[in-house]
Amino acid sequence: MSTPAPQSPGAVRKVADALRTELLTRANLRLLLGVAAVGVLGLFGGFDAVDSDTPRHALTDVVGEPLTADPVEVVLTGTGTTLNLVGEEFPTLEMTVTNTGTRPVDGFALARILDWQGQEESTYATTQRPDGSSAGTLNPGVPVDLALIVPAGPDPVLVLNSVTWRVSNLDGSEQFFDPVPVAEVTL
Amino acid sequence: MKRRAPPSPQQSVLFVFILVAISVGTWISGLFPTPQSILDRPWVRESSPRIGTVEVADIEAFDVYRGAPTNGIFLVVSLQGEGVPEPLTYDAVLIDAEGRTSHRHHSSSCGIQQPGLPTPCELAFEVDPAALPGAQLRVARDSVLAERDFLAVDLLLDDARTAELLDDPRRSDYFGEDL
Repeated sequence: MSTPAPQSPGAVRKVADALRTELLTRANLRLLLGVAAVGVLGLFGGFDAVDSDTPRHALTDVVGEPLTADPVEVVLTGTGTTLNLVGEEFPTLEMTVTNTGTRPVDGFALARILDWQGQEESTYATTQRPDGSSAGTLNPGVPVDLALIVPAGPDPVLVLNSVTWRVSNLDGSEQFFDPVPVAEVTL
Repeated sequence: MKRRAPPSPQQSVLFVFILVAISVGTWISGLFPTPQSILDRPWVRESSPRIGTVEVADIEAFDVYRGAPTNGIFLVVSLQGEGVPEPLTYDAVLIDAEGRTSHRHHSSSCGIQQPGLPTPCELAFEVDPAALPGAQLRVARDSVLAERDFLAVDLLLDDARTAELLDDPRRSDYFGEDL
């Protein structure tokens, strides 16, 4: 077995020069620095969900108090129960909702305003009036008593969202869009 | 590398002038309605060849309408149509004294109106009773959500007529029978 021939200092310098001029360029170092910064942010929780800064209330603290979620005002009045058509009982959250805007709020918009945290299902089908009918349309200035079925599971949180009336980018229709949480209520 | 010379005062003034000109032009352009905004604007008139004419035959107030209670009042408007050009139905919005818009209650709707055969028609609006004097009706064909062509119908609701209506509101069950 023969020993490898020692590399000439010229070849090492060539490699070092190539690295310095072609790989360790100023642009590549900036890119590396950016990637490192993102990595450090990630290590310190930079990619975790941001904690909600929406005010959170206990139901007992806000019963009877008006909560504003444009374009409606919601007054939570307590809890109750309701029966479905086959006699099964469901817990409900009861409230009076008043449309303080200038145009009707239909059931779809109301379902964007009243939302249960972490629930994928809309509240459209679980919001009803005292006579058992659907919430329907809330016309301006009329307080409407509503019962919202509380979803199964631990620690349900009601989220109240403000919505904005604007033209849809998809079909040009005008509707309430862009729900923004303004209050959370724990039961 | 040759360093670029700073802009001359004339170039700076020209740059500012171009910015100001663009801003003024954009502002002036915004003062004019766009073709789409003109198309989207409601067209409110007394009669329409697409709808005919509509008169109010009767107005009543209910505090329970077809079994549905309310914290406001149900204003139930009976309409009498004439001159419909083809089979259609009526829908309407109520504009109250404060300029707010109300849609009809889901339990009321108009049947099909056949040309030459006016059909009684009743629309109920759940509204704020305080804003009823001066309220107007805007009638459209088929659906107010899809229409821009409205008939203006005066409900002739002054303070006295409103007070008379609200004095003794009716109550009806799900089938429309008096409670």
